[in-house]
Amino acid sequence: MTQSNFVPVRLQDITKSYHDFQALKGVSLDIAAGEFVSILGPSGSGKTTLLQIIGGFTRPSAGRVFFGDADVTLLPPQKRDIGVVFQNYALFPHLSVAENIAFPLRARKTPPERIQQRVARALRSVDLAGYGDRPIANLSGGQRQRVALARAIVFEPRLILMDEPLSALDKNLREAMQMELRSLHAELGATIIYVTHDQREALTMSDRVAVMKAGRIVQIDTPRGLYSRPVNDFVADFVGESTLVPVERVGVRAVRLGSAVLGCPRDLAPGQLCIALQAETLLLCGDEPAEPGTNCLEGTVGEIVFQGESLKASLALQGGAEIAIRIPSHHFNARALPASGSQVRVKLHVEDTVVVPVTA
Amino acid sequence: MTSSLPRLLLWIATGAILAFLVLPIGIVIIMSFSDSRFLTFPPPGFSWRWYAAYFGDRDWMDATLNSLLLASLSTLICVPVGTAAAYAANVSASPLLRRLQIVLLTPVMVPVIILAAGLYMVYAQVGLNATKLGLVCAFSMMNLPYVFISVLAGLRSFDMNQENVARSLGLGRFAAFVKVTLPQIRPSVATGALFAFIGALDETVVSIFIAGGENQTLPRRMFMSLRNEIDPTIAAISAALITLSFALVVLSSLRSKTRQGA
Ligand SMILES: Nc1ncnc2c1ncn2[C@@H]1O[C@H](COP(=O)(O)OP(=O)(O)OP(=O)(O)O)[C@@H](O)[C@H]1O
Ligand SMILES: [Mg+2]
Repeated sequence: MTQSNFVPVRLQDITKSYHDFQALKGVSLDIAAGEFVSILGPSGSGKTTLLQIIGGFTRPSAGRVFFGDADVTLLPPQKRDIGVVFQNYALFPHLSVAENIAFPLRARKTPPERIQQRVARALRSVDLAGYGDRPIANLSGGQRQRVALARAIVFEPRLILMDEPLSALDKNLREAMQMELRSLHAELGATIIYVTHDQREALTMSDRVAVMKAGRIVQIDTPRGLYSRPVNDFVADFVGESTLVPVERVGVRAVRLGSAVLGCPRDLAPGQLCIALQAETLLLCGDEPAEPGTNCLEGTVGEIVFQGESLKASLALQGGAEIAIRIPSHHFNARALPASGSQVRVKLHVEDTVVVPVTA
Repeated sequence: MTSSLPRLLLWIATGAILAFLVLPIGIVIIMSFSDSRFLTFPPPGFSWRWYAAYFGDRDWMDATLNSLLLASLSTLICVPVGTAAAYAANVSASPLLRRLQIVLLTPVMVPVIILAAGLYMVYAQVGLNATKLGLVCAFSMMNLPYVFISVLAGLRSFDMNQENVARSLGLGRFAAFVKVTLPQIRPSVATGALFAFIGALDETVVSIFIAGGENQTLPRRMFMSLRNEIDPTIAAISAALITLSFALVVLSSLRSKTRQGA
């Protein structure tokens, strides 16, 4: 694919109402050509609805959709040149693998010999060379996934949309496919909009992630930005596995949690705040005085659970809040493992101290 | 075995029901080969004469061909219309359309005799009684529900996302339906068409009211001839009709089996 067709996508204040229910409440989004953007959110937050509007399957109640400079809001799907992959793949069961992939080319009246070439190339690019004559019913879940992908890219679309395309696969296959999708994205230079409710998947694959809640985009940022600078408690809770504990603001960059005062990396706005404590960022430490740039907490060890590569210990803080810490389960650690019921100190880097405003 | 008595009763009941379904048909077929001038059972001897009487008679043949023509034409109308209606009912979110479904089903809910009388009165006003056009319209209307219900059932288990994908891949709405949806709901459409055809072929009550003159239908002629004389020609015609219907049903079920097997 020498010259890429992929376009930037701009959503302008998209609203969608079903009777008196607003599924989307003013969504704006700017996506650069070649960018991989994930839309992440809990069930019912409007992810699919947004994707359907970009695909042209549903019309927005208000707002506009632009591909590059062209306003495509009223353009039907067949004129948009987009490749879509749905959760259940929506392959055509009455056609063979090759016929499925040739479908968009036939629809475009591509000459037969060109169709053959391009189908063969698409099959190779998803590692399915030689599978062209198989009926869809004989394919495994992962193979169907690849056929759907090949069908979505074979006609060199302007944009690729995916709605939870990996959620029907088991964990190992899903992780392998995530890597493949990433490299395919790099290879094609494709603009991809990817819907998922799996935060790890979104962080793994995307250039940027848009977090949705109840029909609105709450935050759009790079995976790292989302992780270290969530805008509020909803994002902090949804991204990463953290425990939110209310804290009191005692300075521009300081909060109090129980009796401990913790430093923060950025200025804090006044108002209700909470800290997002992630099990992975808390390290057991001794009684030595804290180095600069380190926050310390004390608590009582509760239950310790073996989870394979790590141990998860619950920790009751002085204020009464219950959090978790994770300790790698190799034997260097086993010697220093605190007993259940003992008093321990944990440290947390200031840069990892995520304090977010609480939304109503 | 404790369950043997209930099982035995179940077998007897099943047998009785099957016999009740099949016996009348069997008796008609046996009598159609009778050599007696009267409809007596068991027939005194075997002959083909009543088949000869049926196939050799000009009026019977005209009525038969007319019925086949009317059934074909009305099927040609109600299959696309019923399919389109089922499609609309399936994809539409509008509550109004959902209520309109009931209107489509009225022909099977209203007693046929009322329908026939109503048709007669309306047709009398517009001069459609005893015309092919009138009969085709009436049969199409009456058999629309069969196509509608059958296709709707097929669409309910069809994944509409496939059509969305087909559209995103470059086909218009109608082309997407023809290339992707229709091939997959074809068995339901065929079943609907079959019922519509057979229904039109043996529709009697409405024919009695609005057919006539040039445009005689086979069931109407059978009914009329039963009033005058009772001879086994009727049995021969019935046997021929049963064979035709049966052949169609078997054919369509064979087709759907090979499809599933593929
Ligand atoms: N056709 C419709 N009619 C009425 N309400 C709808 C319709 N489609 C979606 N909704 C509502 O809009 C909201 C958003 O739905 P949407 O399918 O976009 O959620 P989602 O984020 O994709 O969820 P999931 O993760 O479960 O797929 C939901 O509350 C849903 O009930
Ligand atoms: Mg969804």
